[in-house]
Amino acid sequence: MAGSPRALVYGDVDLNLLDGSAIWLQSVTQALAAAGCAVTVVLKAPVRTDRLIAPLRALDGVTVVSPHASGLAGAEPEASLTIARAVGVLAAVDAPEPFGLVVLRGRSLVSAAAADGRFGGRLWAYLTDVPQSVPAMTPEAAKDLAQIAKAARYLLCQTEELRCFLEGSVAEACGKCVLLPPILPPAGAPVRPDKPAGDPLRLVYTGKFAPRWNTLEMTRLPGLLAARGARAEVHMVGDKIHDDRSDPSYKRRMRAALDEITWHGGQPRAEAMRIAASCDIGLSWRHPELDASLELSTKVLEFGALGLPVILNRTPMHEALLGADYPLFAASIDDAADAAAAAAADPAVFRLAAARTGAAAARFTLERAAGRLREYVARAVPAQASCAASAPPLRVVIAGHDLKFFTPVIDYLRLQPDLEVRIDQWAALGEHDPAVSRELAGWADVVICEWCGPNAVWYSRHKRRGSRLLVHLHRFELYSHYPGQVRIGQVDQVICVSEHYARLCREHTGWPAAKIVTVPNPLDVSQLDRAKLEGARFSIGMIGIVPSRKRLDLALDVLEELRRDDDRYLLFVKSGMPWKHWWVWQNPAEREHYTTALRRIQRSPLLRGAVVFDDAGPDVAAWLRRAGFVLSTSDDESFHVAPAEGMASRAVPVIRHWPGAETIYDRRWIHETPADMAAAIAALSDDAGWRAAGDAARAQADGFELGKVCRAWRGLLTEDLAPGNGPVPVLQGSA
Amino acid sequence: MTDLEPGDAAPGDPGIIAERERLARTLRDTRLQLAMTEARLAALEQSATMGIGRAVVNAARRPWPRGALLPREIYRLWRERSGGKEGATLAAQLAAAQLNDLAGAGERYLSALTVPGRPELADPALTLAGQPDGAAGLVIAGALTALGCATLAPDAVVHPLLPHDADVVLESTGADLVLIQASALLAGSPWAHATDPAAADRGRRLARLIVMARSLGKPVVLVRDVPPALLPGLGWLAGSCDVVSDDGLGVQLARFNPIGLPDGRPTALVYAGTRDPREPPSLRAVLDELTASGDVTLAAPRSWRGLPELYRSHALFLAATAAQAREQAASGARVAGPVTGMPPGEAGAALASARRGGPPSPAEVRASLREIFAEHATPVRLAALASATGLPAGLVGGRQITVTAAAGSAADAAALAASLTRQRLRPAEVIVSAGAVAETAAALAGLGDRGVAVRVVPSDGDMERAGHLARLATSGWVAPLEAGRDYPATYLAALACARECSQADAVGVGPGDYEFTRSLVPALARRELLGPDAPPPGTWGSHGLRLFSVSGDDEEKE
Repeated sequence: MAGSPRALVYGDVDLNLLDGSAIWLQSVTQALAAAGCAVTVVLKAPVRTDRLIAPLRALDGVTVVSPHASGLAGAEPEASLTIARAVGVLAAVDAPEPFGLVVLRGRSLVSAAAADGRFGGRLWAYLTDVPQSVPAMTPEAAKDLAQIAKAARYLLCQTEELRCFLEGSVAEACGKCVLLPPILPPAGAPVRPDKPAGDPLRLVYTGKFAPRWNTLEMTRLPGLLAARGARAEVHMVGDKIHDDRSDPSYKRRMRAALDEITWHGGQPRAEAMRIAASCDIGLSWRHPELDASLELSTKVLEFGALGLPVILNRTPMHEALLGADYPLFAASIDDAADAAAAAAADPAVFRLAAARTGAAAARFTLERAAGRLREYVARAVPAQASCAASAPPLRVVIAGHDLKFFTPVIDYLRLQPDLEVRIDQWAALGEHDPAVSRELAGWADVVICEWCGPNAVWYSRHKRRGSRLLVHLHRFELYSHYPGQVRIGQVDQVICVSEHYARLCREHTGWPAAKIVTVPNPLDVSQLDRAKLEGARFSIGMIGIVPSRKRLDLALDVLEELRRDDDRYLLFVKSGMPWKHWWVWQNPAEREHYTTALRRIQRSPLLRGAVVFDDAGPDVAAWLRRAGFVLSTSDDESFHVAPAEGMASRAVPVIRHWPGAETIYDRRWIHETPADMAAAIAALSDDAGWRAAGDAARAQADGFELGKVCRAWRGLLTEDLAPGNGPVPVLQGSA
Repeated sequence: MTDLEPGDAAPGDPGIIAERERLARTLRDTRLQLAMTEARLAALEQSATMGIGRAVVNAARRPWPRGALLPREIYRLWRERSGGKEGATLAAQLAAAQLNDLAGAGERYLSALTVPGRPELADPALTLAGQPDGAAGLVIAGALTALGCATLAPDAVVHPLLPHDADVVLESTGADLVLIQASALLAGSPWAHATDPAAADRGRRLARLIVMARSLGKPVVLVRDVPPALLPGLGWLAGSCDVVSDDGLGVQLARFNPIGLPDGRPTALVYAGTRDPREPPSLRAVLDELTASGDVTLAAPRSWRGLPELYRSHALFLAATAAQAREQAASGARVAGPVTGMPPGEAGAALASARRGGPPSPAEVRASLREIFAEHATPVRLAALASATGLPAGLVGGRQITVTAAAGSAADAAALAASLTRQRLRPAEVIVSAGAVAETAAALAGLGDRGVAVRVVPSDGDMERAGHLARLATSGWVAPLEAGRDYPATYLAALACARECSQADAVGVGPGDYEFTRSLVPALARRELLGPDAPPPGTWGSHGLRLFSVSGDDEEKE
């Protein structure tokens, strides 16, 4: 495993006990190993049984460290590690040769590790007991999660629901939340062949017996099914009966009810699975209070992996998993009986349900998880330098006052083993420490000036002879006096974000055409590509309405045009408001623009109640789930990242033909007038057409994909790019 | 300077505007903080920990004999610590939630452009019914669907709030209560996904609306009008509201009524819902069977605006839910079902029975209508919500009727009292002119015991004719009665029902039955129309007032 990324794994979990969290720790270790990592697992408790640990020890590339056996546990060798102690032990294990990634499970533990500071930027946090509703997200909880997010490289989320909730509640979590769904261990029991339900119908439940799990109600199913003309048995596996304080007789009644059905008692996991596989339908129908959970029941997936259909609650999460037309959803015991009866009577219903649960389970295999983790590792952990490569790393300086657009590229460059990256952070556009800049200019092999401002002017005059100078020009600089002060002879290449701006740059500056090239803005497509929320087809998104050249008024024209025929269309605006920007609001013309637009929103019968201003913020990926279309109505843009983000999210871009739009986006999405834009949206009012267009847009968004753009920048560090040869042409005419 | 108006926003001095903004925001945030602190304090006071603390302190102050009881008291508190406090706990949780980061996106500037008054309903049924009753007393603000607004508007002043302006607009509407419809949180509404984890931003806005309502002393009502499976995140919201209703907003008779039923309506059984993969299994089975056999036809999908017309244009319907059945029955159809939850096999029998019955007779239609009016109409639901939130029921103004009469004798007054006591819709007020004031008052005293306000004024001959009694009325609607006449028990209810269906300015006996007319003898009319300066009833039609005629037969059959 030489050269493999090194992972340190610890869960606030006792691996002597067989429960969901222990299985998770085992599974994630297996998946990391399968993803090519050298994994070191640190145990919380002294080993009393190796039921879960032995399979880990047997894996190639996995090392199990028992602090209790190695003397790291401290004075109490028999006690489980406290959180404080665990952080100390992990730091000790990490110190000699820091790990590339540190996977921790449990919010308290991660919080302590984040506060400790020694794992900063390397934490992969799997948070349990996270607040799952608005009231539960207190300022204290949000602050704690923000600190965790700052320290973490990734926040591993079990479901999309949890990811979106975290991002929507904690700004620092945005961009760091990635999915790590449940991992199904390889099936330990025979998979049921594809056959219809038997007679009698055998329904199976495994797990604890508790009121909210509806286990007492389930025992009535044989009787209810008999009334529907179907013979049925209920099989139950488990021996933990909840002692319910609010219902003292529950335990007695549940215990008595178990005698009326086929009760197998507590069984080892493999035997429980074997019993389940011998039955026809799994039961996971629960009290509606549990419907709001942001976590997915692994039980449903395990039944599916065994080939069993499952009766369960209809929730948006379960619909996403199994389809809205899955036939065995139930909201009541009568629904459960009806669904079971339907499956018993109609083999087609049974087969459909089994196929759906089976297909769902197939999305949660160890292999899938390993593939996912492999991608995360590649984007987060510096590749090991090749032993053969003895050349010193290329020294890169990035200089600028506002690096937010360039941060993803910087992160990428920092991961490259043959590069050494330093930042010359300018305090403001024209404000810096000349001594620091001079030292960095002398050190660097390559300097990238983010923005063509005073930084580019300074470096074109002070760069080391023989070093390479790249200038990233966005938009506003072109019309400033800075380009005129740049010594273009000292600049190797000027990188514009669109071909249109490259042309404008050539025309305005007279710089040699060979020096001006195009690389688009990067997009983290994998972060943006998420399932749309219901109703997105009639929701039009607009990101950023300030300043007035973004033309909110034209967006209103589009909406009015649409709502004349179909009032289902709504406009959702995600933007800071103009009065939040003094430099905009002090301009009477700007104020007049917004006053007129807002008055229109209130007075027009077609617009009133149809425009919502959502909060500005970094949670764009989560927000875009509600938008089926993304508008770009600007007078002028250098790139306009909003439609590109929308495309990555599978929203359909609807772009006004601002100058140069066609050099970035496919003409398919570009329209001349608001009426044309409205017509384009209305033409996609059927679900299939809208989804197909969204998929096409998503495919085109690969042209802006972060890795692709980053690789273009990596190439620019050593070689000139020929004009017109950037990644942009991928989009042209591809639809 | 009055309210902030951006158009007038002193271009030369944006600083003043900004300062006003800041102060308004500070005031709002302070109010929110106060409400949140109060909620936390209330929860703390109800908590077992606080109770135990109090018990210990009390025991320490008076060691005996209370001290001996201390362990038992603490045990009781421990036993009760998890029971019955869920609402308070959730409210406290909401008060502790992270809401202050939303210092405002929309802000006052947006609300400054908000047009006060009723929303644009664009509901053809309401257009047919004329303008909603502007005199309605109840003012409702909230997260409402367009359908919800159309349902409420005839009986209340409605202010739909938007996520970006809700807390600011709420400050200025003078709403009596804040109503959140669960259906307004579904896709297709400005509040879409507010309980979905994918839209935590909207969820916080909704939470902030609730806290703001509390800070202004306005009760918050949640109407759970969608299946729980569609909104699993509704739990925290339900726990945060003062009242949760599962009864919906009721049948709005201004939309669903049998006025102008076409002749010869088709008698094929129609199912008016679209087939939905989310149908409960039992409903799915019934519909599969009935549509496959051709016993039931599926109506083409249409929006909520088109439903009244659809329901009036067919004579027989198969209904999925009780709410749908009532709307169809109110629209003059015979209804089989609701079939949801119906035991297997019974749907066929219900269908056969409906088919045998054929199109309902006018008397059957009227009977259904009266039952819906009494039990399920929107004003009934609103009155229940008002009562549950501690608001006066009289705020729902449409059914507040003042009866006026001239009592020639104590016997007439006694007969009037007997007649009114029998009324299924009891008047809010009775104003009687009489020569013998004391005797008349004594005869009417029983009405006062039943909650009817009684006023007896001396008769001076011209008083009735001049409309002076109507002038004294405190209700918006006045029914002039003859003191000696024996009225059927449904008299006032039938008039009020006809008025709600027609949204007329006056209802009375006229040439047609359940139809608009140009002239009538008013039996129930707006107070102002019966006042001393009002035009005579014979001219009302020529002034464009909406006059609705009912036959006298209907009441007599009771």
